[in-house]
Amino acid sequence: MIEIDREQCCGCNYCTLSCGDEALSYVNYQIEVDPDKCELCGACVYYCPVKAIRVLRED
Amino acid sequence: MEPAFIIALLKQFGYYAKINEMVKKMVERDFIIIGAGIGGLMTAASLCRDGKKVLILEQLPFIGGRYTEIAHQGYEITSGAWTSMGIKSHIGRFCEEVGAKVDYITLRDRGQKHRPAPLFKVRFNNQKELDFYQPITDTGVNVESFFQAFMNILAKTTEITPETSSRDLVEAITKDEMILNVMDHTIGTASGLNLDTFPASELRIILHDLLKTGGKFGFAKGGTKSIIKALELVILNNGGEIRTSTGVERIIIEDDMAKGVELENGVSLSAKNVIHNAGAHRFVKLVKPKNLPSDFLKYINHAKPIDCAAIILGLDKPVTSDCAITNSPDAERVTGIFAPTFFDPSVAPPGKHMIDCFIVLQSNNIKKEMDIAWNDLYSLFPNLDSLIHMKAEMVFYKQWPGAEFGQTFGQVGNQRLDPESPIENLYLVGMDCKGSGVAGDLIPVGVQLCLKRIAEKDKKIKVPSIAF
Repeated sequence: MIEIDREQCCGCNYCTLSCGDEALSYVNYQIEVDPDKCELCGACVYYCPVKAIRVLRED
Repeated sequence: MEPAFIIALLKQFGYYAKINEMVKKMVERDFIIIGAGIGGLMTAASLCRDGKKVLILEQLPFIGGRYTEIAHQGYEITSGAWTSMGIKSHIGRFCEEVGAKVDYITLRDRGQKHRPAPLFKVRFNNQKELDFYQPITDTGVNVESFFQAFMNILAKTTEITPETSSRDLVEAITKDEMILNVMDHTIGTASGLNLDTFPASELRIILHDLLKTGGKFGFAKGGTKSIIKALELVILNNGGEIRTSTGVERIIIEDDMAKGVELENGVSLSAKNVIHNAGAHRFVKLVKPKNLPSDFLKYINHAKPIDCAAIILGLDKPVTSDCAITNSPDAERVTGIFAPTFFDPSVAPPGKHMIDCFIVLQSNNIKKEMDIAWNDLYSLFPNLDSLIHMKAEMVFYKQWPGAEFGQTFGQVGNQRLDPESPIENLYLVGMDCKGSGVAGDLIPVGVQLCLKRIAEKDKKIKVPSIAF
């Protein structure tokens, strides 16, 4: 799953814009993840300029 | 023969150290640049052309920083900066000087014969519009048009001290509230500040820069990323190297000199010089406070940032009329609206239009601030909702503000950071460095100064001969 550090997040929205699966959205100025759509590709992790996103794999 | 055996043999005969030194000299880079934003790329392009060995490291997967676009639902969405203002801007001239060729679509291209499209129009909440050149008839002000007001501010010979505010300067010409609001929103759009927080000295410079672009005010064909691609081409064609998704952990400092960088993956890379283009606070983190003088740290710790936001909309029909920027003097948070598709329809899907609405934040309550901004937009364009095809909201604050050093009192022109850092062989470029201009257009001024500082020690470095 995707974990977002809301304290760290600045709201630039690069992650949502970069998500090819449209799994991220910016609801009430907070990034929300739709786990059904997210393929855990990690694009958002790389696009985040403040390193607020992590991918947690279940294994 | 096994390499280990060869090394052992060379060591045996005392050649190893010598060869090692030679190889190191051959592969050692002249410059490592941290951050592939426009400042880092401009510096690299210039250095590569002088035959220097340059490596640029970028933590994000794309280059350009705030000066590029992210593709989203068929739209090219700006990562922060809207435009470079065209070939006559500082960025435009610097690119030309280093051989980075960019095609611009200008106000002249988008206007009629002998009459360029206006740089901006003023739109009121009652949806009435006034043109930049059009006489202002119903306000009884002592200037004929906004253009005239701009010219009068430039011509005003009142003594300007570092403490003189833009309000002092503008009010010396007119007390008309509408003109004051237009000027306030022009400042907001250019720098995220206002009449009271933006120094008069800086206002004169940005108005001069804006007017100088004239009919050549423009937008890079294909988006701002075309500027980045042109700089990248100069760098790669001249032997430079760019690595994306490569974060830097620290700048290696030995004997008070920068020796290279250590990457986040633990690999160390050495270089004769390091240039930092990733923000002042990050600089302190990478260098470590103990290596920096206290006055330098104090200046950075007391920096006044710019917190801003943008609402980017993809629309079925254009809402603004034919001009580059729509100034919204009645709006509370939206200071100006830029229309990239007015210049280049290719940055949106066929038949769609895009507007970038710039918002100056006045508090940390983002929800409240953005609600006010949306209300501004609905007042300006009452039918907006029915036209929205794509919506993206972007906020720039906390660790990723619009600018770490806003162009306010104590933080303008030469009051900003010198490109020569307190550590030898370690330089700074980017938005925090010395220079004046319309937001990011101040960056080349600092880049030029950085190259000048380097040229003082290395005669092979050519400094781009542009007077800013």
